Amino acid sequence: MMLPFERSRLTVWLVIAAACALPLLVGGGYALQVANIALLNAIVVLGLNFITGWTGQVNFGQAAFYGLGAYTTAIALKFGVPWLATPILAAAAVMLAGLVLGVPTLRLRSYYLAMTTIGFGEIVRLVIVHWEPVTGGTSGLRNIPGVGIAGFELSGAIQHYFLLVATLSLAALAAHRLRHSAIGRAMIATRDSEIAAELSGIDTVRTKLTAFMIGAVYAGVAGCLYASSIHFISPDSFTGTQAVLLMTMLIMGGMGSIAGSILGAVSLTILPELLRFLGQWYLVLYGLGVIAMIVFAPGGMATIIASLRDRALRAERGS
Amino acid sequence: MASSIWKRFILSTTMCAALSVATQSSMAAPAACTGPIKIGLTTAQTGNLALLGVQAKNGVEFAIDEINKAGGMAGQQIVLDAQDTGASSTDALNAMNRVIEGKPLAIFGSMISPHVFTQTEAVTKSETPFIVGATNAKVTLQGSPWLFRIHAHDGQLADLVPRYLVSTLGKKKPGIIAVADDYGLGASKGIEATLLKLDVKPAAVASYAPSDKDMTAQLLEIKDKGADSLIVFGRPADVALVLKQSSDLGFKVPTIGNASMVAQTTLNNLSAAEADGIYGLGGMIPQTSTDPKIVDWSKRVQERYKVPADNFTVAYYDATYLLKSIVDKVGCDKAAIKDAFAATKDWQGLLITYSTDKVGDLTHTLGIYQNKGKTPVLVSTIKETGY
Repeated sequence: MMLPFERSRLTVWLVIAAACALPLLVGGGYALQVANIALLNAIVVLGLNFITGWTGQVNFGQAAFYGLGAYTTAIALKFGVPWLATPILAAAAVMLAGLVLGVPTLRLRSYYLAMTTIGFGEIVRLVIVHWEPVTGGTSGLRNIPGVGIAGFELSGAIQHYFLLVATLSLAALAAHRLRHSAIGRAMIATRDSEIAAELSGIDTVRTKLTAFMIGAVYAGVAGCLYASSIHFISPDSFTGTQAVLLMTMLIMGGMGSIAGSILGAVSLTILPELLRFLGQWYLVLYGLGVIAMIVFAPGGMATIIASLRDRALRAERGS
Repeated sequence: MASSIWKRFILSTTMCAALSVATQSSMAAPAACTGPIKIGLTTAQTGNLALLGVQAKNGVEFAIDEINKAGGMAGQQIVLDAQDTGASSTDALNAMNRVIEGKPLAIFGSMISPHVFTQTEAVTKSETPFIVGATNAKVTLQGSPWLFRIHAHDGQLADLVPRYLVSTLGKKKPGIIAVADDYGLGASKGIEATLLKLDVKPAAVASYAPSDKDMTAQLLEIKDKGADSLIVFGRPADVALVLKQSSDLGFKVPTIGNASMVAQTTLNNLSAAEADGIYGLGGMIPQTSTDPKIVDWSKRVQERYKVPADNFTVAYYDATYLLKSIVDKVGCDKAAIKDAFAATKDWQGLLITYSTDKVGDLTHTLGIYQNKGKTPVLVSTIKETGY
């Protein structure tokens, strides 16, 4: 009989293999473009999981970090910076922004922090809208160069898809390693009880700040890949609505779960596309689905999968 | 023997000539359209831009129903594949990729410029004629030979609104207030540039966020700086608030702006006193026409959709009929349709004629309207500078 960790490892490899086979099934058109957006959202939501899922801090500023990463990349590429340097630049820009937002605000709790992050998102949006000579204002930035490494340029949705699968795999692996490190345990302890964590010698403010900045880096790198693969960015892709959607993805997927974060992001990106045939009614069904999930499985999809897995294990042992 | 050679020569020459004529005539014949013709449409059907997107869909849908009832396009029925873009550019790209996968003969795009910017690359690669109503002047400057615009754009308004205010209404110190989105800010900058050319300096320039409900601070600043007139650029919902608050503040100066100033949605939220005298420039709206044909058309649209047709309904309706006239002539060859769109000259639509310029803009005539109480009246039409 397979041990649980062996089973988990096999599942991860099977998921990666299935993801790699997807372009063979759907080609390089619409479906793969949606898959690319789903993978980008998954990276951003994985980042949100650090601060909200593991550290317990409500953050509605993740879409703003996503936008900052995208704009940093687009502007750097327009100035002739090699693409390879742009993920680093995007990460540096969002870390700086994360620090500027995090240092004065992470002593705040619950809805006070939520309000501050909403305000941060709005400030970023307004700067993008009004700093037109640099950001292109509400018209956005067009003709952004694509991913190019050592003279080799990625073109088409399929090549970008594989880059995104690789990036998401690395991001998930890094999150898994961090979760089981001292930093990860400090994050969980901070979420469970800040007072108890402080009494155990954990600097909770520093822990929250670290989680905040790691989450921002995930969003920044995703923003970098978004700008390079779509070739156009505008403020309407990084609004407060997008921030709420990212939070919904995390809640639906399962806060605190890596697999849940990815599942939530992928399913809530694909679901509206699958429900397009319903026309304007899809929003009603979508909303009802979200409510049903929160009522009947408050732990998100991750808990449903976990309970199915447990049931299968019990059945296996029983037989 | 010699006569036999001559006979063969004459016969073969005749056959060659006949073959050549047949080939030429088959090349000139329209590419056949087989089966139902699929037309794509991507506009906002949900979210805060749905009011605009629905008008475009109504225009296309209404025209297609009429065309299908009258025998179709090039003898074939039209099938519309309409996809919702929502309010985000990412969703707009998804919607477009879905439409492209259905291999439509032509695609009608949104009037929201960032949506069109994000879609243009994909449509250009698919080599499908792309007809949009997006109002940002830069939309047709992207260099895509497949992109055509059927509606008036911000560049035209930014030029004509201040010219009309200064030259015809004789005002020399206007205040400018615009919504801080792609539409308003782009126009606001253009207006300032035109005023500069006319040697007029605005008293104050202000903006507000699309979701703002209180614009009194901006209006008081404009009033305090002694503006003798007001230029307003925005969407119907926020323009109604600007006009109402301006009236409440006792700031009653000649006011002019885009078509939202005379749109039915704006007028529904104003009293007759608040609306009276305000000018609006923009695409042609059907309500002011006294032509029985237009009156009947407006009535039929209103009966079917329960909302009055606006400038976008007219533009997209005209675009659908223009596409039909082209396909009837050149058939279902996309490149030929693109070339015919590019060569359009003086094609008569519902209210104006359309001619394609070198960048792909088809509309060069705008309407100047003034509210008489809550009823917009067409003062005159005005041509884009250079037309």
